[in-house]
Amino acid sequence: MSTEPVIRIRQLTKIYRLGDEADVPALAGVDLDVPKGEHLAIMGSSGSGKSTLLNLLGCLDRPTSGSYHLGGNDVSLLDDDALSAARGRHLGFIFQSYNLIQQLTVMENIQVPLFYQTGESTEGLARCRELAELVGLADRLNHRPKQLSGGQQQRVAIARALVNDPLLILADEPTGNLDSATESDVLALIDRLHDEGRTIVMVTHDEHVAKRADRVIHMKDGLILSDTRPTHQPA
Amino acid sequence: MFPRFRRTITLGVKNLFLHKVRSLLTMLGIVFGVGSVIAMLAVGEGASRKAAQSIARLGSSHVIIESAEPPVAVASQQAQTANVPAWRRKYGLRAADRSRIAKTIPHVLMVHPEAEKTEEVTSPSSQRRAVLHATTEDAPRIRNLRRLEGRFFTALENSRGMPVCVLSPALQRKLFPFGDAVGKTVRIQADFYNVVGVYSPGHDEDDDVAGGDSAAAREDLLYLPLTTAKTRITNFAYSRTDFDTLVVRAESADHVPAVGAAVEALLEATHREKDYRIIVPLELIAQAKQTQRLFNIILGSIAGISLLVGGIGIMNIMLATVTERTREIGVRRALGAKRHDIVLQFLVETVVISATGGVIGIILGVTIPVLISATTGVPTVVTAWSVVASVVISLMIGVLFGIYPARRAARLDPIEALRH
Repeated sequence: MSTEPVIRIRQLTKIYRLGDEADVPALAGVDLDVPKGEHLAIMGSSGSGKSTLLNLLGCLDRPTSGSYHLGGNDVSLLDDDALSAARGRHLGFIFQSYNLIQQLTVMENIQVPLFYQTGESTEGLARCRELAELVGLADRLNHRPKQLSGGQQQRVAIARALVNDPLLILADEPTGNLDSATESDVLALIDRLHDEGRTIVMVTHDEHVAKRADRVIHMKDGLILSDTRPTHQPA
Repeated sequence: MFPRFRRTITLGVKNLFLHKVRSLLTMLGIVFGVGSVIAMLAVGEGASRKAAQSIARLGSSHVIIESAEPPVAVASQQAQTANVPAWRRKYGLRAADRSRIAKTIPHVLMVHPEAEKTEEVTSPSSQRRAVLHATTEDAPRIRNLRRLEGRFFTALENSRGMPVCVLSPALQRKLFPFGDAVGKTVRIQADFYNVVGVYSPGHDEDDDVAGGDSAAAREDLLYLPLTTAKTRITNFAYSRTDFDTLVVRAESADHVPAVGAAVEALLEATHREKDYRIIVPLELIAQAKQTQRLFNIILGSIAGISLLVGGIGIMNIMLATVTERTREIGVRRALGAKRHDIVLQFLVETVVISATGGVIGIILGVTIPVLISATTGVPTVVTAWSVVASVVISLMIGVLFGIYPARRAARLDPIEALRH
């Protein structure tokens, strides 16, 4: 178990079929291993295939060919329900636009992933409180997303991503909508998760943000262009 | 499973409360649909029950024959040949008809005669024009008369032509406003008659139609023995008809069609012209049922259309809701919701709308008939099955018209939905 990487991708391809003739390869055979506890940043311009890769890593899509082992299980051939179950059990999502559910309170938003698991509710509630405390929103449990600032909303989203104790946290430009002050708050929180031993894959445009990761891959035309380990410097 | 389902319902209700006006307006289609179904059926049922009741009062094992004046053209022709003026010529049911029917037609229990004339009736304190019913001692049984006071006249009183009579409650109140009638006497023409009882031609005890009118109970009626009437009262003695009505009672309702046919054949063979009318209450009931069925089909289709419109309204709104909440659907899918979780979530919302609409509709549908009865006096009966059917139909509408938007929501690609 300890030797098994959280993500192991072999020759992963994804081809989008546009109309009748044009086949657009978004991913053209990618190999990638992400060991447990690693903080990986994916960079690349738009159309480089990074979003496609993130969707595949997030079990939101199925590859055209190749294999994807998540925590040792092959998920590249699962059906829709099994993919949903895999997302609910093993993955935590942090989106650029937070994607909280507007009609639910902070507490209810954090609970959503548990709702689709068969999880016990009293333990779940305690865990939600704990997480709200962790992200510093324990006093705003009954607020609605609209009553919160962007940074606060993203912290709720982070709590929500942690509630099912995921193998892997996927963050898609988590600070893209934030100003620099709140950005550093959120990044500090992500660093803290990394320090706790969480495996994190983050897509970003921002070199500065990417520098905080253990490892940065650059993508272009559906392939990994470079795979570097930045020398760590305190932020 | 159960707490999860409960939470889905709570969530659905919460989402509906988020758009109160929209949910309420969506609901209205079902409310009016269900309400109108129940109310219309209640009015229809009330009318048909009242009709059935008044027919049933005639007696389901009876064949009723009434004297009818023959057509004028035929009458004048006949009059010339018979050399009797038309206004004196006898017609209708004769004593011979009564005995022939009783003796020759099988399964006939009895033939009950009635004759009817209007005459002044005088009491010591008052005078009144009343309808005199000259009949036999069987009248209370045949005509469902209800005893209020005293007794009916007896077979012996009838055969001996004794001067006795029975009053209807309306006539009793008018002739004897200050006390008992039984034991007193009234005068008709030159003779005095002992009042032996008060009998009401009114309703049966099981009369459950709200607001039914009691016209029969308000009539001024006086029952007296047929023999008495024929011997003492000139109008009866010189009447052009022997009987106005013969009630033929069959052994049971099963024999009624055969008896009816036999009576018709017999009268056709023995009467030179059609100076009678045969009424078979059983056939009238069948006819009324037929009419009622047609009525129900028409009401049902109207109600069905209004429920269909309501259902389409729900579907329309849910489709809009799905579009509006595409992002939420994507988020929920990303966070582990399976397709059927999404289907369930939206289906619950439509079912909650239609079920709530159904319940409000039932309340409306039950109160409207009460108001109709109270204000117009039209009888109404809310039947249990119409309420049950409405509940089932409104739930079915929720599921039927909810399934398409819900499936559409669930079929959304999570990636596309998140990008929305």
